[in-house]
Amino acid sequence: MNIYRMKTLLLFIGIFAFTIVFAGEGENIFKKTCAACHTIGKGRLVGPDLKNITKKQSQEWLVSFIQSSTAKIKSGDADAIAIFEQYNKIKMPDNNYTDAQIIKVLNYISQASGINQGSGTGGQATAPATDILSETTAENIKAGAAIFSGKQRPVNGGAACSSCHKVRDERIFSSGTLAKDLSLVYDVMGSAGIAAIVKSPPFSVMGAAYKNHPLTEEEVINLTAYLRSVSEERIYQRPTDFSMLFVFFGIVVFIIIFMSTIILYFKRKKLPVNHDVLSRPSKVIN
Amino acid sequence: MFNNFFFIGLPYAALTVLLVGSVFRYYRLGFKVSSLSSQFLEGRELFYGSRPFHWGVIFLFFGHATAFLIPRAVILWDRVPLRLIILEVTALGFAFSALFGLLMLIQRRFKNKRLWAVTTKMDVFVYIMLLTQIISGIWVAWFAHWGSAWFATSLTPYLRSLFTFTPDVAIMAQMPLSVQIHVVSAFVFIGMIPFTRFIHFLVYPFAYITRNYQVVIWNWDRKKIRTSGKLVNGVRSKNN
Repeated sequence: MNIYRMKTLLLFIGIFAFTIVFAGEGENIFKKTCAACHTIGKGRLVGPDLKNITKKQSQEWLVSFIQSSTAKIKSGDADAIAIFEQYNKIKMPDNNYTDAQIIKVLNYISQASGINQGSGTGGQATAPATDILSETTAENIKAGAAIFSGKQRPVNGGAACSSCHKVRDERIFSSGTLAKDLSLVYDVMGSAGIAAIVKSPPFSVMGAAYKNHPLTEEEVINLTAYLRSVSEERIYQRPTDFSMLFVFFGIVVFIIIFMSTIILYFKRKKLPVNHDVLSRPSKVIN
Repeated sequence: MFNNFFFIGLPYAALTVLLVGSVFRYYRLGFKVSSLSSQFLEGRELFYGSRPFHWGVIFLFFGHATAFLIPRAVILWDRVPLRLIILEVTALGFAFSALFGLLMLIQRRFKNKRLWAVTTKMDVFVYIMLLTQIISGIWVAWFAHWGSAWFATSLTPYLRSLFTFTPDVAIMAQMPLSVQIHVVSAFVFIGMIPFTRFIHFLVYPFAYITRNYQVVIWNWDRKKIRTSGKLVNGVRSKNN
């Protein structure tokens, strides 16, 4: 009997611990993944304000959209296409969360929507009132450019933006092409959107790169200021395209390697051991 | 949809097969832990193919290993644009070298009948694997600059997550197709090591460094020695 009691007790302790650990999961996921682009009742950022979203759409629709918005848009869903068109044709990145996890996030959103009932506007048209770039100067742009190109190392380490991103700027000598071209990013997302994404990247590749090396508040402002200046000055910029030069020098290096292998190993025995033996009688015959 | 299969299942399967398979092959078929040499059958083209290929592949192997083991050093190196370009151009040069060497080796094997006689199905598979791997690598280098920089920042966390048994498939899911192909074919490659001639990269003839001299009798051309101007009385002549 005691054993049964103990088991029951353990079960309750287990359930209690589980509830404590996982109760905040929805909130955690929201803050980690969604908050870069969405608010609950505080206006639109990159994506729509999610206040009362659970009342506007069914849970099934939301779960499938969150898991893969791309698939939803491709399937021809009218609502999904409308959102895609309305928000500057920026696709929401696909997520690997389970249905249960997404439902927890949705529960958190509907809970938070209730709390923010009176305060926020709830609409999708209002932008945050203060622009983080309102007090930036040319110094900020310069500092931002240095971080972008890698000349200045961010305080917490981390790679230069130009490792993966390209911008239309003559000052950036070598830009990467793995990720999106950021020349127009300011026009599309605005300062709030850029800052939100840089602070906590919703894209897993970028998230992995900056997970242990977050940018400071000041660096985020500098970078955003720089990206605004790129967007403003892009029509005056004629950056050199190094792609062909890259391949050309690659071929030059190849020729050097090839010649080295020949020169270094030329005295090496290139013919089979029996070559001389086999060729000797033919000399006699001829 | 197939992300979990390709970027979690396949890597673990490949690494397990590599470990178990290599040990098995070594103990059961010890003599076969080698890449069956065909130098005896054809040597001249082998020289022009094998040298550039192996130089390229060895450099690229250590380059990838460096970015995986000490990503911080690579990120610091890449901070100066000129250094980044030098690294990328050098790596591309070695990739071209490997591709050129491989194409030479492939045409050599198809051209010579005596080589074809000793070629197994697995050798053909090895060529296909290597071609996929090198071409997808060049494709990555060409379309997704700069590999050395983003490998260290983004791909290393994925590979680390595999080795810490907390696989993070989300990173790979967002990578371009070229990178995905390169990674998948790399894991297939690793898994196939015990069944193919790839096994020879696990054994090195270190004993050669410390072993005693061996008397090797080449085929002596007596007539050449007799008529040689280099022949000095009392000094043993060197043939070849």
